[in-house]
Amino acid sequence: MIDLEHVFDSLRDHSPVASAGLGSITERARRIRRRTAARWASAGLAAAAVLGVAVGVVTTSSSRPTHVVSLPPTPVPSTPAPGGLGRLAVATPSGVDIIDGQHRVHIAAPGAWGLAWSADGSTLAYRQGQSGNLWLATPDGRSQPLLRGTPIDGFAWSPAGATIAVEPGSGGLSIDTPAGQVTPLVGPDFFVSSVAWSPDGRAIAYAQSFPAQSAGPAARTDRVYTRPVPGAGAATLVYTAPAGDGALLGAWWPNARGLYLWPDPLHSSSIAADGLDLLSVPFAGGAAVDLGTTLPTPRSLAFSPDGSQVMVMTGGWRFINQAKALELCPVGSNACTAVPQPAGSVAVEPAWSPDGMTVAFVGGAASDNPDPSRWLPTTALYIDDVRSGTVRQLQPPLHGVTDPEFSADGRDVLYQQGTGLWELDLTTGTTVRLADGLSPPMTQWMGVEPGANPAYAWHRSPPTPGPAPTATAASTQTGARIATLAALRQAAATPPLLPGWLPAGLALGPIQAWRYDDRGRVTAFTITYLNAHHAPALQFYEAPASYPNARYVGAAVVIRPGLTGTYNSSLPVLWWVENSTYCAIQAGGPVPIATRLAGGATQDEIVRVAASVSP
Amino acid sequence: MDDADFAEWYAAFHPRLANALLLVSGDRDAVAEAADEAFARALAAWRRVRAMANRDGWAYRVAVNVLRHRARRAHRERQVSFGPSADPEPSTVAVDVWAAVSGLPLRQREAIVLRYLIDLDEAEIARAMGVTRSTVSSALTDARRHLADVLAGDEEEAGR
Repeated sequence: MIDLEHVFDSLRDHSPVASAGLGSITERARRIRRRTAARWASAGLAAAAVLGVAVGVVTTSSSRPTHVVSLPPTPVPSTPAPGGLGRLAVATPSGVDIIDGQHRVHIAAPGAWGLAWSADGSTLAYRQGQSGNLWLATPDGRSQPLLRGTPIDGFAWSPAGATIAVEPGSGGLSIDTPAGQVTPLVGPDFFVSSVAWSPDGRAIAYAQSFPAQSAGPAARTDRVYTRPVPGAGAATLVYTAPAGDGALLGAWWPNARGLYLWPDPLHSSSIAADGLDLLSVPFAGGAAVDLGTTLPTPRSLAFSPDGSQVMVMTGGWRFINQAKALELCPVGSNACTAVPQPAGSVAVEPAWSPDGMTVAFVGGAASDNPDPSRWLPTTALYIDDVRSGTVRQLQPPLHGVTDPEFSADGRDVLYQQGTGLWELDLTTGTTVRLADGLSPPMTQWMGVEPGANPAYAWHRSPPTPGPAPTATAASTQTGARIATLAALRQAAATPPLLPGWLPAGLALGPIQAWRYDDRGRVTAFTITYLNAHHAPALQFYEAPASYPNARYVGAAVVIRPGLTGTYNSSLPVLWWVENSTYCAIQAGGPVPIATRLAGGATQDEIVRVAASVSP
Repeated sequence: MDDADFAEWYAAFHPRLANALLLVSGDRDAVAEAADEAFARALAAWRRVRAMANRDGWAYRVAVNVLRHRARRAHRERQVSFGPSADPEPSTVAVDVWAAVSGLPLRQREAIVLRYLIDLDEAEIARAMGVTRSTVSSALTDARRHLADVLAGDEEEAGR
């Protein structure tokens, strides 16, 4: 039997790695001490900040690197993309390609990674090279560095407009715009480990380390604050990590009432790389909920479009092909349901369909071998029916697939396969290669910056509307889902017709039409209601017939078996009859619900209804 | 005599730390830099570090954090990721050990390095790796079995 203690003795006293020598180490230690002392001596702000935090207010320093941002405002090209896909940016070894359906723009930026579009699609951010400098580019390919080419630790686009939170490598946190406006939030003496925007982009959460960053990682403790932006609003302390530990932020709850984060023991990257406990922290106080071990990356969390549920990629170990599974959890709760998967497999990279009914994900063999060339051939694309909890493999099988994402209308899925970016039309099953030469996928997420994968960034845009409606009578065929955008807006603006269908305090948000028939009638759309924070609180979707018992739609009118009562509205009402294949728009007036339930609306009703809302 | 204590620890532990990092990383320059930085930080706060129950484990964690932090900033993770060690140029005696350990899966490799080079016990390894103690135990068992097979095979080859 081999005596391993003895075997390793040979590695104890000699190393091929040369020692710098005690003198060099001593000098280096002196520099560390001097740097630490200097930081504390000059950091009157640091003490002020610590004091301020005690009362929930953070004082920020205005000293930070000079920004050179002079991107001229550039209108987004109006060229429609094929199939309404929007605009794509892909990272290739030679740079970044921007594809909008008619044009292909190449930005020479070897080693570009971490692509991300601003919410309005006007600006692409990417990082480049070993230093990870941040560049901003317009869709026509003009790009300029942010922070005069100095390294950054991380960035995050606001979910609204083109505002970006930047963590300079020298410390601190600021909110920047492509036009060059800079709002410092945290001074450079402090290390900010991560940020997360509120769903409406009007507030930001960040993890700030105390005392100043000159202290060693084990001597610092992270505190998580939320703060309105822009402006000088006070920061609110929402979480304090255990002494000596850090905190990594995942995402806000979609209703803006809490936060997902990971306590980061000892600020240890190696510990974090193998997974950390995910906590759900309510802002209103109360106990945080532990959702178990997950990789501490925002990509471990995928929220349903209506914001009520989150698909969590659970499981430790640093490679995605090790012990990963998916669990569906109500937001803020750990009452999760496991997504079925075969024994010996992993389930990763969940992507919600825009109607919230299905989740696409990558399934593959569980393995400790991190070699992508060994693992990728075992993968395939799966579809989880959220309502029934059933999982099916997409047929014909697509192997070697990573990073699936649905199009805005739910008809297409984009995915990377090898070095190619592909579009799958879910209706016809056809696939089209949109780009090639992408940086190959990796099995390791941690240790690389969030956003290093996937190798593409997609700014979705709604499909181009069809021609204006010319008649409504033709829209009354049995089985057709019929509506007009104007009627939808009117219907959605109607106050809830049944008390309780919508929580009080919600305001009507954006209405988007995703799909039109050949006459320009809306056949797929989304109506969003906003909460007091202007964050999406509820969304209603057109529900295809393939979803039995779909709950839906518009002005909070959902007909389902067992429901009785009478609506009384002077405005058009959008109806969806469960277990049927059609909906219609009804002019106002008392409507006995029970009569609607006896087999659903009749053909005659639909004709009358459609006629009454002729635009 | 703080400095004398440090010098003694530095001389004894540097080869072990460097070899441990090299076994799990593979980038010799990055390992040298991370080891130096860990020792410099230790000396800068020697009074506190000296009092630690396991300063070897602390130094290992600091060095690994330095490796990863710098790799992340430089986006060189692919080069210095915890992949098999590349060109370690070990002593003749250690060649088989390098080869055998490099052939272990990552989890087993890190566990075995922490156990036999950094001298952590299973609980300390579990904390350093962020996994359960039973997982560490299992990884060590598998690694020992694999190393025993490989190294015993090498001995047989050498004996022919």
